[in-house]
Amino acid sequence: MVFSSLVFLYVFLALNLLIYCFFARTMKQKNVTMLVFSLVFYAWGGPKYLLLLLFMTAVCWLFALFIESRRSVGARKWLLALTCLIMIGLLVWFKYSGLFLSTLQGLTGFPETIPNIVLPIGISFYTFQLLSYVVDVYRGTVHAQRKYWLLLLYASLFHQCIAGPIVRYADIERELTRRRVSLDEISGGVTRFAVGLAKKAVLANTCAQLVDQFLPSGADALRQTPAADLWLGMMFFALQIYLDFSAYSDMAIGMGKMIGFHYKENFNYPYTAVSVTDFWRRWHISLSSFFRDYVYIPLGGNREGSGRTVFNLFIVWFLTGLWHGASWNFVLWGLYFFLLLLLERSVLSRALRAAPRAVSHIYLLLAVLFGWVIFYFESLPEIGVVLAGMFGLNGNGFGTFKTLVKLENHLFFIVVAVLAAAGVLKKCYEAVRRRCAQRTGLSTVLSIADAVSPTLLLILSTLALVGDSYNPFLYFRF
Amino acid sequence: MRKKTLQPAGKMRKRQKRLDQIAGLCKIGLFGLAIAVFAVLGLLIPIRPTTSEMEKRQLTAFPAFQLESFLNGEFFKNVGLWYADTFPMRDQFLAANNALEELYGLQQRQIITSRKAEQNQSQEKLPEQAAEQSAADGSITEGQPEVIGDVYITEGRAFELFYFSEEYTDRYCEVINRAQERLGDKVHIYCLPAPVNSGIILSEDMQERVDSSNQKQAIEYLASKLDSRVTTIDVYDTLRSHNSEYIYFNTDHHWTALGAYYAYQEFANAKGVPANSLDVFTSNSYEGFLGTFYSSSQSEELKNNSDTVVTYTPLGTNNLMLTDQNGISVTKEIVSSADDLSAGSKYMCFIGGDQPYAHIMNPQIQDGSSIAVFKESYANCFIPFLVDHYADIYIIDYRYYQNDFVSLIQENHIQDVLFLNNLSAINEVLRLEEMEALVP
Repeated sequence: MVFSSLVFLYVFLALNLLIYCFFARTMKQKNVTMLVFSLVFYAWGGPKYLLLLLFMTAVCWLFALFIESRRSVGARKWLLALTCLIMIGLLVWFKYSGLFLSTLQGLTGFPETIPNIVLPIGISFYTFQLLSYVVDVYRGTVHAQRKYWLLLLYASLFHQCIAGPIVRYADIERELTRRRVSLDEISGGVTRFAVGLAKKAVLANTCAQLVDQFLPSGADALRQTPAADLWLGMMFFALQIYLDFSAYSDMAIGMGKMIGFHYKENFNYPYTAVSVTDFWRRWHISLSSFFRDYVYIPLGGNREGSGRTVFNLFIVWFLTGLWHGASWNFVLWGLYFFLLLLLERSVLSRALRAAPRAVSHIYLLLAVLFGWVIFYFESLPEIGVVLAGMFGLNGNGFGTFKTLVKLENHLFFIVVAVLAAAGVLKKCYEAVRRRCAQRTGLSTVLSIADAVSPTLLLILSTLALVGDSYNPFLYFRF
Repeated sequence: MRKKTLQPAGKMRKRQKRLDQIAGLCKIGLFGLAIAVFAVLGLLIPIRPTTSEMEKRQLTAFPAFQLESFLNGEFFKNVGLWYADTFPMRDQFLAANNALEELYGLQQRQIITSRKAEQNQSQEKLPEQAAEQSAADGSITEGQPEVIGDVYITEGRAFELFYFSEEYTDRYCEVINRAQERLGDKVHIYCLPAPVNSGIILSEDMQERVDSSNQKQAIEYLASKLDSRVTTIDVYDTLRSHNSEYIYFNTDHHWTALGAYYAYQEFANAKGVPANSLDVFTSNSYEGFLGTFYSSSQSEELKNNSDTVVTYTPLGTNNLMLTDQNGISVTKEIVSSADDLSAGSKYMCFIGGDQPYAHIMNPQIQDGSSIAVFKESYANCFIPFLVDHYADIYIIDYRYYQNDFVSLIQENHIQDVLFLNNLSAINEVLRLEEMEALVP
């Protein structure tokens, strides 16, 4: 079930909020409500994979308790290593065995048949959540959770279980048993959820249609596509993936706020960044900080000489790429950023700081856009064709009449989508709010607008969703 | 002094805070109410639609429960699909959403790619029978929608873009050549490839800009590949010379009866008989037709430029005997009134819509002359003009007819055969496969 589906909004969420707010009285009842709903939510995507989630949570629950009860460093270390082995082993088995085996088959002809393993929904997200929990218990930064069902609630909570953000146990440990909500927070949560929903249902879904219109499938068709279409197609993909993914985080954060959970921000207008380093501080923050805290720093970070630092960065970016999907182009994509980051560390950073903001901003946008080419196309020949085509090397000219007409048809939409992705819409709203706060008449108008807008966004999104029964979130494959 | 300036600010802040609180409460209340209203609406299962008139398709049915599909998530996925697809008031919501999407940009000219059409194509089509039944109560009446390719919309008119395929044209010609081979010299085959509107109305320069292939060349190529015994009727130049007249619809992919009439004149020429003049027929017109281009694009520009269906009733007889897809034979009018047909289906007033098989007997002609028409819907408004030239007309819609076409001609001793197919159908693989199946 995706958040941007009518069945989620008007059956699942409606029932969840109804029972949570009006029938569950104690915190325990509220938690049981959330757990039951989360398990149903997870089972919706295939009840048999629920067993895997239950099992992986059980492993982490047990081993965390063991780790906490042992004094000897050696024993703790072994237990942690064992947990990681099981968890990562399962992740690799379910997510990557197809890729590894088919690569092996391509190289050696062995094995003859590749088992068809279905990727359990959200496994990349909840595996990382559970791992961070066990490591934190090992480090002594959190206490092991005694109750299995509360740990299961953390791992399966439908707000973030299947598409992030990757919430750390430490961040919501207290809120699992003690959470309070204020009117302000519920109201903020409602707005956040509605904004996220509209971002997905109206903006991201339309961008997805535009991507399809500008980028045909298959290397042959791409070879015939004029340069402007390729650039526009990639630009819409850049918009789509950001709007889509950040919308999911918005909705998760919004729903959390409605019932007293506080998840950390996952995006901070990444396309306003001025360097790749800056971009990764603003893009999928919960993932990059996971790799920083649980891979890069344990490997020694940048404290063990420059050679080791480069190696550590390589590992981190190899894994970041691989995490995004079981296909080598994602690894290539990760390593592309590894190279850019190295470049920035060694030479570029000074030049970027000295350059006008506009220049470094354009550099970042181009760097990310070419990154998305590697990300979007899964085969190397396609990537090559598209990169050549973007520079007019396929001999199809700049653009066609069709390109122009399609642009005309979506002119206002594009402006709105770009302003939304650049955070300008939000800034304008805040500026208006500040101005209005000083004038009583206007502030009343603004308050009314504020009260009505989430409902309007909900209605707009519903209209958009009725029209397309097919709109999977991009990040579901991860 | 300082206190004085601070106090109003403090008051103001307090007031603002109270305002915020009230606004917050209203916001939560409204949002909750909206969710509740939609949730209740979603529960009203009896009012859920099963077909969409707007999209002309059967909506997703509630899935059957199976243990396997339950365990792998397929069942729930389909429940979600059913829930969204059959949401109450779907068509109204879609219309509202389309109106909003008009605001996305400048819509004076548009290119609608076949994405929507492809999606619809993969969906289950409305069965002819359901269409027939509901025609009476005025709801869904379109019947089998045809697949529309890319469409260019400008100044309130839509144009179907044409993509030539040498391979498919060759295959089409082989179908006709095979028929000629099997029928021998006694049967005279005519081939009338009908241009689609972009080739006739748009300037050649414009056709090139929207990547539409040249239709004159396509017809000439086709003619060169046909058996020398087959008579090709090239109506391209004739239609082009009349292109300031109302010979193609604005919102639908068919030609009008007037366009078909000019093609009929060329046919009569080729056959060497005098064509009837238009004034001899009784003519009726029906306003408010919004055809396939409108339903696939939902363009406001088209909606504001709806079509008028003009009909010409044949002289000798207005009755035909048709056999529908369930094998049931009924008598219908060749040209019927379109008053009771819904806005989207007024073209169905010709020869009872697209049926697998129909037979017209003209009692005014006793010479035993006969013709078989191998057609899709372009021929529907053409056939009324043929009625007064043959004692018997056999009409085969190759998309639905199941038997061997050549045997039909042999068994009924038919003398003439007319292949009347539009260029898009000729260059579309699905249509070709259907044609090939009838002339193995």
